[in-house]
Amino acid sequence: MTDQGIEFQLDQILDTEGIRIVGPVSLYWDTPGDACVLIGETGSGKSLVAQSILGLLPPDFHADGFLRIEGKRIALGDVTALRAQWSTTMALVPQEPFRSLDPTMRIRRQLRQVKGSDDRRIDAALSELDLSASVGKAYPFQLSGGMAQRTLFATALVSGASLIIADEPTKGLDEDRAAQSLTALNRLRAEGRSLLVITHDLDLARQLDGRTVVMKAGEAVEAGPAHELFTSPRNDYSRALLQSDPANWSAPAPRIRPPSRTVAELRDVSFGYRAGGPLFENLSFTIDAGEVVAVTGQSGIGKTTLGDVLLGLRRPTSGTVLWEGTAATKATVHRLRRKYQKLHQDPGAVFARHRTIGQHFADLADILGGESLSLRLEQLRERMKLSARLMERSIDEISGGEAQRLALMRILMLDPMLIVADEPSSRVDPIVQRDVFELLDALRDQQEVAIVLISHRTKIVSSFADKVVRLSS
Amino acid sequence: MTYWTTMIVGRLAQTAMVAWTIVTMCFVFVHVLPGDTALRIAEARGGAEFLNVGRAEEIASEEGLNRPILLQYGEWIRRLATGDLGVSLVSGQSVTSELWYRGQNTLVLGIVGWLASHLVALPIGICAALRPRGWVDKLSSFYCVTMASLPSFLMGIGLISIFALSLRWLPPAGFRSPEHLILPAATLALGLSAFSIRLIRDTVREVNGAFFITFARTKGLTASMALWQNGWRNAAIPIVAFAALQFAAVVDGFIMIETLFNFPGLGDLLVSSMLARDVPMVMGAGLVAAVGYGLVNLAADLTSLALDPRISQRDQRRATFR
Amino acid sequence: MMRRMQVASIAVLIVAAGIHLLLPGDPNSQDLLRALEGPSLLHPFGFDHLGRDVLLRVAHAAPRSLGLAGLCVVFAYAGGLALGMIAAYRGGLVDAVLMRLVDLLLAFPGILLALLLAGFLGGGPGPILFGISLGLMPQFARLSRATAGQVLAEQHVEAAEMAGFRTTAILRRHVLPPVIHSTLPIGVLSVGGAILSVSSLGFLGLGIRPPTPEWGAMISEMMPYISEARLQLAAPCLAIFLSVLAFAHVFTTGRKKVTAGRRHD
Repeated sequence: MTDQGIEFQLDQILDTEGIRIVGPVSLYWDTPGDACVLIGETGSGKSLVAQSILGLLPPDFHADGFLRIEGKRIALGDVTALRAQWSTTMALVPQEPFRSLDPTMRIRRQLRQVKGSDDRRIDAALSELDLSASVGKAYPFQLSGGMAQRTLFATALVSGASLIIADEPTKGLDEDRAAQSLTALNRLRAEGRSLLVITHDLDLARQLDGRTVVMKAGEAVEAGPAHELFTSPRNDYSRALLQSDPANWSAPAPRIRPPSRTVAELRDVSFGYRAGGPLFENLSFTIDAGEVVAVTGQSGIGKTTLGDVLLGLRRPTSGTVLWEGTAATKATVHRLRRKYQKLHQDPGAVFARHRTIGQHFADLADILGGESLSLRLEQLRERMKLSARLMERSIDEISGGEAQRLALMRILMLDPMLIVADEPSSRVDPIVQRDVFELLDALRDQQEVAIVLISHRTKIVSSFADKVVRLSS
Repeated sequence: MTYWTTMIVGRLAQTAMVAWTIVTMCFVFVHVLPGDTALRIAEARGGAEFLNVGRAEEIASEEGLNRPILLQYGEWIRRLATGDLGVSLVSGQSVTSELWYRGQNTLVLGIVGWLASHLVALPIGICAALRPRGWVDKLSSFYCVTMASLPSFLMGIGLISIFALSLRWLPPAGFRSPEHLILPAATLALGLSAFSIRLIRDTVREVNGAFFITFARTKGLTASMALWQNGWRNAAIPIVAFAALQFAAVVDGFIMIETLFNFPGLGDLLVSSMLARDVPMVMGAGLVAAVGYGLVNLAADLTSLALDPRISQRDQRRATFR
Repeated sequence: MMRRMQVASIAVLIVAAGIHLLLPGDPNSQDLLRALEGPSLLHPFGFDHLGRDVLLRVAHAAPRSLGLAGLCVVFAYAGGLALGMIAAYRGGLVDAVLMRLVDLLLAFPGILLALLLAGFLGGGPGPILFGISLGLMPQFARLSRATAGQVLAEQHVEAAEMAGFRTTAILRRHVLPPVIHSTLPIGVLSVGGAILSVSSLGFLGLGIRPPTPEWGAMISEMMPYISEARLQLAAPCLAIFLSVLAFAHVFTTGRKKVTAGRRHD
């Protein structure tokens, strides 16, 4: 291994009680500009690995192992020595830009804080990342999420670090902005900076095409170059993880459906908030029973609002929404309310955290009547493969996948004709995401439920929908 | 700039509403029992032994207490508009000159007490924040809990008892020399610091633990440099806002402390004229307290505005920076 | 540690509220021969300037002061919660009008409102209750308006509305619990503040009238004799201090519990 190479060997990370929670993980970068990517679900310990390199583990956590960089060998237990490398040999690109930037300081001054920075380097870094020089004069709150994220990349670029650790660089960004982050990462590599990227975004991992490590429950279950790992994973878990990626979903055979009754229809519908222009204008389409209609477009374009208009939660500025052929006036909405439901973006959010899941279902007796309730509840619970114990818990004590199923089950209790699913995949891990789509798929086939799928992810949409409505500005 | 004007106008309008409420309230309540008012004035002027119904009626007609309520009310508003606060029903002296004299005393007391509290609270609060669970932290949090449960007049009684009566270092009451200021100002300062120490400690600790400080350190700054460069403004915003607010909230303190120390300020005036049902004086003192409170609150808002770019530049569109 | 403090505080409050039932004698009976007499075994706090047993007076004042303060908070809390939830739920004009009213009350500095009301209405429990409750209410209204506003925007409320529940059921099940959760600790703490206000008014001579025993009024009565009768003066002071401290500790424990619960998030 040359002197330019970087080597990281983590034997273990011990928590406050001395229990091993992560390890062993080993990573290496042969030449400047190499990338290592850690992938895995939330809680797999990938962020702790990054923290152990930087000497930023939570207090009383302890890491064993070493980092060899620029000819120096530093023990991971030696936090002071690791911190001495900050900005000179290692830099961090944190995951939440607005928590990482000082809210009361202009961007340029924050960049000037980087050791060894000067105006020329800052200007170069800003323009390298497609940020105008005026961004330097802005305060963080004046920037969009994507721009704030890129100023963090600029910080790394301004520093002299040869190893840059990027923690979830695409988290919470839509496809376009995620692409900008990927570009920024590639520019850093072109500058000869080695990367360690922590992500649950499989697309990003594939496109970075570096040495990829799959983490599960604190352990590295498989490692290898991305192009090999993505095509022929050897480990069962990696295979499950990779198959859950929408890009790997097999396209369903085109279905021929007999024409069926129309559940809802939009006729020349426009909507705009009082301030600002219209979000969308003169939109017309129908939704039939058992049909999947996808609504796509960039974030902020009005997809969720369109869903709300369709569900009678917002009144359109002009045009008509029809439910079962009649205009969705107040009386119609009142009569058919429970037939038109929404699967919320954050599945857990539909359950109030101060009540147990069971209480939420028991409340439905108001609407469904007491006798039929418990029978129906049991049937659905078994069909959704959910344990009865979950009913005694509050939403905070339930995993993402279970929450998603419970939210769907809550809607199914109401026996809906149409479900608007708002970004049903954005907040959950890939494996859960796949699960949700299989459930929705079963629902439309078996029960003829119409589904309106709101998503900014064109891939998911193309493999799943019968009809696509694309919103653009 | 629209944000500034909206805020200033809003505060001033609110203060005007409070002033109007006080004026109206005084009238409504005092005229529920008009005879009682005249009797009380008579008592206040001549002492209880000369009290009789004839004297009370004399006073009632002298002061115009028998006229229709609306007339008296209208006249008072009209006079107020010209800046005339009238004369005291008890002493017959001009309310304005009395308020002027009392107001100065109160202002001196308030400024000295408020400054003293922050001179103590800032170093203690910052020390406690930087060394959590250290002895300064433990001692100061005990102090805060204790002091917060101790009303200002109890503290004052304690101080009088120790420094004026046992040690005989300081005068217990009145206001004839600067020395007379020490005990009331100390009482005020101790009470205020109980709250400001806690706020300063919490704020500094929160800012010190904020991720942007850690991130600044990964840029190669030392811990103390990061805390200084990225910390002070973020911590100053709530601390300054609270300090200004506290200056406004010392009204409670004034009323109790001035009464206790027999200090010739506005609070003492308010209570004594309330006991004597001296309506013009109560109204005058109430108005000064309310308007002063409103103005200090306005100053607090303006300071936050000056310190926090997020408020003043909210109007600037994000689109400016592409 | 905190648990023990909480038990101790509650014990202090129970003893304070009930002790007068165990002590024989009339708190208002005077014996001028014993005026300002020092402490003795049967009369541990001595006698005041009119020869009344100070311990007896402090004990008899306790249920009045504590009860009055508690009632003030109950009224203010109930009123504030109702106002805040109505404002948050109705929104629009109702919200604007109610919240401007609350702002107006908030713009009264400190005790001034209670002082003016109690002063003009002539002291006694009624005016004190009215004045102090009105002064305390706006903070509860603001806080519950804020929490209710937040909760109403949460998706579980929308989901419940879409399921077709009645408004009252949604408010009761989904909104009220978090509102109470966020306001209750401050409610308990403000009982301490209300005790201070009640005794402050008494001290100023604008609260409960002598000879009825009341802590603040007792202090003000004894102030002229501060150098001769410090113990007699200290007794009501101590009573106020301990009861406010007790409420402060009930609160601290309450808040700790809240943060511990949040850790599961």
